[in-house]
Amino acid sequence: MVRDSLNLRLLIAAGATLIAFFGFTGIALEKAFGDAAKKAIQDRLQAHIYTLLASVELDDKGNLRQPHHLPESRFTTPGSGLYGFIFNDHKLIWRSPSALGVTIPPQSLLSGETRFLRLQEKQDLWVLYYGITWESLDDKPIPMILAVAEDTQSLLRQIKDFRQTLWAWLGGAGILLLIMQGLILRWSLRPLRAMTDDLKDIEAGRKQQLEGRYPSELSGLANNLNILLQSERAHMERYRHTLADLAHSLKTPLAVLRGIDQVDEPCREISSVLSDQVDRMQKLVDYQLQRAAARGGRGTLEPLQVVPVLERIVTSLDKVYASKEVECELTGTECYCFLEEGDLYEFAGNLVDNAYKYCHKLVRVQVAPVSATENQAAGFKLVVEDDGSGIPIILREEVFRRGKRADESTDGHGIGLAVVDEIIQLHHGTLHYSQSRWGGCRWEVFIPHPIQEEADSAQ
Amino acid sequence: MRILIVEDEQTLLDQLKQFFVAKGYAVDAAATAKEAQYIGEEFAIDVAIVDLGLPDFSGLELIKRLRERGCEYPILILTARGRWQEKVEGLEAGADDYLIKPFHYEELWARINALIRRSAGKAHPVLTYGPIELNTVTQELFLNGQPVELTAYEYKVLEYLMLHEGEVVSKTSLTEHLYEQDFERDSNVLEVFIGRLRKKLDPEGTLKPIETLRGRGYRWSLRKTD
Repeated sequence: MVRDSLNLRLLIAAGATLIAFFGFTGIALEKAFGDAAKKAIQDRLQAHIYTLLASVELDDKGNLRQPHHLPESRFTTPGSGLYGFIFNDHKLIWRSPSALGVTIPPQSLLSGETRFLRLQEKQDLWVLYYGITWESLDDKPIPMILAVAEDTQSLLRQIKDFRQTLWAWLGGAGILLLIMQGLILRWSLRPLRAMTDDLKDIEAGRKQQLEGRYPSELSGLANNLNILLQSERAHMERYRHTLADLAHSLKTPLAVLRGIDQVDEPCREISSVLSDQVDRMQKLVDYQLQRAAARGGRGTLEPLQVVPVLERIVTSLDKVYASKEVECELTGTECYCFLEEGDLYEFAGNLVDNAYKYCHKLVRVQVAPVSATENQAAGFKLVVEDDGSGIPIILREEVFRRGKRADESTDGHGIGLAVVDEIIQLHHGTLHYSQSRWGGCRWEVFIPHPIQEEADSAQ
Repeated sequence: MRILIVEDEQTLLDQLKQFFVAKGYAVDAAATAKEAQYIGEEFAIDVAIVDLGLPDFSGLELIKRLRERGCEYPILILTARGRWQEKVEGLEAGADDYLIKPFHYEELWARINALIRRSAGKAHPVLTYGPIELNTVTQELFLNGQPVELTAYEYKVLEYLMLHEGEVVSKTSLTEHLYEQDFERDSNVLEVFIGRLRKKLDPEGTLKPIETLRGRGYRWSLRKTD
């Protein structure tokens, strides 16, 4: 599926890029936010340390006097999440009222040194240790470590909130960008789609060349394709005309050669050889000429009505076989095909002509559109029946071979049915023989429409 | 019968002319459409063979012009172009039959014969009038089942009269249909042929198949029997 759609390929690539981009962006932002929040906590704890330090005093004996009036009320409220500690010589000498039941390990720090760490023992805490040396009046310095701890819950909550907001926005932006990307791709690839539609129309014979206005990136390709198509068409036409001209120009000399044994009376042996060879050449020329004339499975510019063509054929044959007084019944509803007109004339003409030629009195021609089913494409069906003698079973295969005739008693070269079969096969159709209701031939032709959706709209 | 053959290939034209002369036809040959149009309009043609690819204008156009000018004789198209669409166009232009080159002369002969009979309203190639039977394909005459020898001109006169059964055929008209345009026409010769035919067809003098209408011409007076 990916291989089939350029649009899908680009959408998947753009989607993957967007996911990667937003993924990395989100992780980076989350990390930056976490770091900033951690730094903010550290700064806040540092400020609390200074506050605590300001409220510590020594008594006359040089002992630490416990701070009574703590400026931050959270220090005094148990379980507030903000705890203060003072250590001296690895011994806890003071803890804030809020730190009831909360313990943190002492640290060894030099004066002025700070240590910021996360403790995840009984409680999850951010702790800032700060080493100081208290200078007393008796010049005996007292080393102390002040520590302030804060519950991590608030930070974790902040980070969680931030993460939710961040990913919601990034996700939303991603989806929006993906939709926009899809629309942009659709718009950008529209000329390619137009080119594909044009090529389909050319393939079906509805257009001669790429006619759309393409962007500069594609116009060169479109021009080259048009040149190629024109050249190919001209080549094919030249080929068909050359073959047809060659065949036609051979026919008159062949007619002259055939006339020699009729008019000039050469010796019997020469006459027989001449006649055989002229017959052979004539069959070859007829067959190749009709093959050259068949367009070969290509559609036409527009739908062609089948019934008027059949009416013209039947009227013409009524004239040719006037003395036979054939009763031909042509029945058919409005029915379209997408064949080249000459191809329709050729196969229908040959079939109806055979019916007129071999019937006793009755010919029936029926045409009807065929709707698409699960097993069959849409198309049209032509049935030609006569009340003649039919084709014997042993000859049924033979009649499709060029030059072979089931009935040698009538005029003709044995090319008709071989060409009918060939034209029908070129258009991916089928030709079935069966016995008609009167015991004669019944030919049933089905030719599918080259492009099914066209057929539906035409029908 | 007088036939117009239009064909630009001289050798084929000569062959066709030779063939139809041998069959007892008065042949008018033309290699161009203009010449053919002149002959077709001016002379008493009974049937025409027209090639489609002519040097000045197409055979199709020639047929249309002849039909427009009231020429009603049957026309057979003889052409190398054998596609069904072309056949239909030819027949719609006014032709009555179509034969593709190269062709068998027997087939051409049969078709021309059929066209002439059809234009005269006769479906069967054997024209039967009581004891008289004329096979237009083999050009044989039978009287009471016995073959009767006919010269080419006797046959021509007899066939023409039979195909125009019940009609008064003037001597001029008969001469025009039986002889080529440059043939020296002598009405006495025609009277001799008629006299001979009467003797051959009605030796007893009981049937009286050919009536003479003074100052008007001749009439085949027998009625066709199946």
